[in-house]
Amino acid sequence: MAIIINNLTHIYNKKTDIETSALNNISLKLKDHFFTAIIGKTGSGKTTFLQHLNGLLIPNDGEVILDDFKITSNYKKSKKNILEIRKKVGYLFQFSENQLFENTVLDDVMFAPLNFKIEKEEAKKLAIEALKLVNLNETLYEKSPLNLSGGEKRRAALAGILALKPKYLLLDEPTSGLDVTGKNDLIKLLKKLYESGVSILLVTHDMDLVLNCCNDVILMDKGKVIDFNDVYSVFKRDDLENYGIVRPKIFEFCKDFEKFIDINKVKNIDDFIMELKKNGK
Amino acid sequence: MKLIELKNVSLIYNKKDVVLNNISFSINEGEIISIIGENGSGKSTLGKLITKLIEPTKGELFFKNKSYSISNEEIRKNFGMIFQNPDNQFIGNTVEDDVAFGLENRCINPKDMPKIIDEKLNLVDMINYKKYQPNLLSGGQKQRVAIASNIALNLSLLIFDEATSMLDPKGELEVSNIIEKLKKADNKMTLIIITHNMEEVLLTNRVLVLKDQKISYDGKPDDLFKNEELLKTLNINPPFKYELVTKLKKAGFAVDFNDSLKSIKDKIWQ
Repeated sequence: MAIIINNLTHIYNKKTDIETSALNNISLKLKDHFFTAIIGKTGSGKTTFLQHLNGLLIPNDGEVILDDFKITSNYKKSKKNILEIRKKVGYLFQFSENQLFENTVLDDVMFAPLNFKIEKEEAKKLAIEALKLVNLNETLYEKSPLNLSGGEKRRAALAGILALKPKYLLLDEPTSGLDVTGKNDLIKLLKKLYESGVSILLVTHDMDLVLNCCNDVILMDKGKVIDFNDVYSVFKRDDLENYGIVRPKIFEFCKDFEKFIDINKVKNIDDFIMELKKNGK
Repeated sequence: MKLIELKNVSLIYNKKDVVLNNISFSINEGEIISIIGENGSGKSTLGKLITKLIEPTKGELFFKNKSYSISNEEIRKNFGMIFQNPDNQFIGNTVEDDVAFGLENRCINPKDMPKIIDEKLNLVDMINYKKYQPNLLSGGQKQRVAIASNIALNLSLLIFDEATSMLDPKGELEVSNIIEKLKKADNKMTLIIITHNMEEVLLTNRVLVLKDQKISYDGKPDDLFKNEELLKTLNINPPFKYELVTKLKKAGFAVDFNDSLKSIKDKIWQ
């Protein structure tokens, strides 16, 4: 059981003057349990790729295998099919605060379970469980989502997805626009979710987030996968700048210490100092 | 000379939601200033107040010592803003059309336009993309065109409202490089950079920190980032070098905030 992509191709506005090839014959297999980042320039196809993994987009060619589901160009977007996939694969949009629409935070988080015909009491239980998981204060449950801070809104949106207990979580630029507290809280939560068994695939420009949280990286350019490897191997590539990537500052800094410390263990400044100390500095 | 002054300015929504509470400060001509603060602290609101996209509930704003209102044409002519989303501010069909749009609105003689357009596109390193359509540009390139369109208008003040937050890391660097260039330009344009990115704060000479609807810090970025206690109180993560030096010092390394990254490395090797 895994996520397998075979020869995935996607073309926007096919057979029109503005036809654009967004994904070009992509094949890869994700690990059974993954915390993976997709990186690359704006317009490299990252979000288009992500949206194929929960049926938001259907391939023009090739296939997406999600455990026992197979999405191909012939895939019929019937309500039953889509619901089954959405239950398994949660999707947090970029600026997900825009996907909050109910009158209260609790109602918003209950929306998805109710949509899956779960009884109201059970839906409420699931929603409260999810709100606790994302660490949203109980005093906010009856407030309008519009009154929450940026970080709180993003966690409320995430709670709406987690209420369905998805196996896979897809996140599009989850830290974009968040302040220090919002970002730190989100990172803690994502690590906790991963440790609890949820697999996470995120699109991001935030290279500190990639170094800090992820195990693997998919590097994309012009609709193709350039590299799919562990974080350190990708960040060590000489040609990263060609793909719009600037390495995290701590990675760049400790490269010169590579022969002295194990830089594969360095995810932040604290790790770097720990490695220095370990090696007698 | 003071370019902008805010005296006892408050903004309150629905008579109860206080966004900014009795804020007073001034910005001199040619100053490069950053505004930081948590989500919802009122940073962007402050930018909109200064450019008079919204009116304060209380208090008064002054432009070159004269009180100004939302309908003041002089403000519209002198103030520009670079917004967060690069796609939301591209108006022309091509890069040069986009820069020409503002000039046409200012009734600039069409004969003078090509020279101004080339000069400004040169400044933002976009001259080779003059004939390009927006869909062929990256986010960073679009923001650079937006900067060229603004500076072509001979503004007194340009505000960057989280202008790099939607860009890829390379785009972020490109915009930062242009800000560095604008700092060195002769026209002494005042720049306000509203941001979450602490590395961008280092491009400025002065930083305002908004917290609890007020200005909690107004001073040099260097003084702020060296002050661990203050950073903790204000909930700010310092830029990389400051965090590195603070932590290395605690671990017993003889490094200093004035050291370059290279000399920090050398000192670690010693």
